[in-house]
Amino acid sequence: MTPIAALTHWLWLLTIVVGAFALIRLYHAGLHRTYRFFFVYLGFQTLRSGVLMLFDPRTNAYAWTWVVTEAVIWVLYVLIVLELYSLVFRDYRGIYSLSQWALYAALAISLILSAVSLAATWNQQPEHYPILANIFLIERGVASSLVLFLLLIVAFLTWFPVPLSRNMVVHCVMFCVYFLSTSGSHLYRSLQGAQVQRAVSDVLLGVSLLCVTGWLTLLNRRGEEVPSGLRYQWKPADEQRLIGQLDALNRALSRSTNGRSSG
Amino acid sequence: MSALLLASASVLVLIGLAFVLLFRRLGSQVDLNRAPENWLEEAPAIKYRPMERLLADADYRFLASCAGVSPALLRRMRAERRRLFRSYLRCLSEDFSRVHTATRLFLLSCDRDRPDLALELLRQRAIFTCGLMLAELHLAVHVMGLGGIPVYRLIRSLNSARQNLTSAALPVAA
Repeated sequence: MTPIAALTHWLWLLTIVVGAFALIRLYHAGLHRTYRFFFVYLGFQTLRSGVLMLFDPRTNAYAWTWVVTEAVIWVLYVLIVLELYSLVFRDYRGIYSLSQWALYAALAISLILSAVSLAATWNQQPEHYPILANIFLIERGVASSLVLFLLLIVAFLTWFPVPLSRNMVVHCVMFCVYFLSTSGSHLYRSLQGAQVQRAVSDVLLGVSLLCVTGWLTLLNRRGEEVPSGLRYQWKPADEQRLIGQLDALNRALSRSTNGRSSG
Repeated sequence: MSALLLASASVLVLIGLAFVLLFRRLGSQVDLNRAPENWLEEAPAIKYRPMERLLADADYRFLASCAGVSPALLRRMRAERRRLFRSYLRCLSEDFSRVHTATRLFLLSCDRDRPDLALELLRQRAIFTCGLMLAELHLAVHVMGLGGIPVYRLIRSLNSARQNLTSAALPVAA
C-alpha cells in the first residue's frame, strides 16, 4: 500500500469512527429528534462508508453500491437543508409568509445560478466512464444550489435579525463548508479531468472528517438555547408608531430631493 | 481552461468570504432586548427640514447678485453645503435603519402571520432606497453645477413616481 493509499484508508476509517461517535452523542443529547434528517443522513453516510470499505473499489459491486447510495445522499442533503430552514423559522409565526417568499426566491436564485455554473463548465474533459462524469455533475449541481440557498437564507437571517441557537449556527457553518468544498472539488475535477480524482477524493474525505468532528464536538443540548429571545413585550400601538416614523422619514427624504431648488 | 478555473476559484472564494462576513454579523447581532425604548424613540423628521434648502439654487442666485461675493466663495459655499447635506443623509439613513430594525423585531414578535406588515416593511425599504439614489443623483447634479430647470424637472418627476409608491400605502392591521 502506497503512503497516499494508506492515508486515504486511515481518513476513511477515522470518518466512520467519528461519525459513529457523533451519532451516539446526538442520540444521547436528544438532538436526533430535532435534527431528524441530519441524524438519518449521518447514520446512512456512516453505514455506507462502512459497507463500501468491505468492497474492492475496482469491482462492479462497489460501483453500483456507490451510485445508488449517492442518489439517496443527494435527497438527504436537500431534506437536511429544508429541515434547517423550517427549524430556523419555526418559532416566528409573524414572518411565516415572508419566510416562504424568501424560500421561493432563494430556491429560484440558487437553482438558476447553479445551472449557469454547470452550463459554463459542461463537458470540459473527456471521461473514461461517462456515468461518473454525470454523477459528479449532478452532485456539483446539488451542492452548489444548496450552498447558494444557504447563503441567501443566512443573508435573510442576518438582515432580519432572527436569533439562532448555537447548534443552528454550527450546523449552518458545517454544511456551508461541506457544500462549498464539495462543489469546488467537483468543479476542479471536471476542469482538470480524471487524473486529479484521487486528490479530490482525499480532500473531500478530509473535509468530511473535519465536519463530522465539528458535529461531534460542537453540537450539544445546551447549544439549543436561543441566546437572546424576544423578551421585550411589544404593544399593538407600537406598530402604528413605527410605521408612522418610517413614513415621516421617507417624507423627509422625499422633500429634500423634490427639485424645489429650481425655485 | 486556466481562465475558467481562475474565475471559478474566484467565485468560490467570494462565496466563502460572503459566508464569513454573514456569520460574523450573525454572531455580533444587536442584543434584541437591549433598550427597545431607544428603538421606539421618535426619530424627529423635523430635524431634517434644513436639507430641503441646502442644495437649493435660490440662495446662490441671491448671493451672486450681491456685490463682493466672488465665484470662488460661492464654490466653497456650495461644497460646504453638499458636505452638510451628506451628513444629514447619513443621519437620516441611521434613523431609518433603527426604526426599520425595530419594526422587523416587532414583526418577529407577532404570534400570527403578518404578510401585510411584511409587505409594508419591504415597501418602506424600497421607497427609502429609491430616495437615497435620488439624493445621490441630486448631489451629483449639484457637483457638476447642472442647476438647470430640465435636470430638476427630471429629479422632480422621479420623485413624484416615488411618492406615488408612498401614497399607495397598504392598510396596516392593528
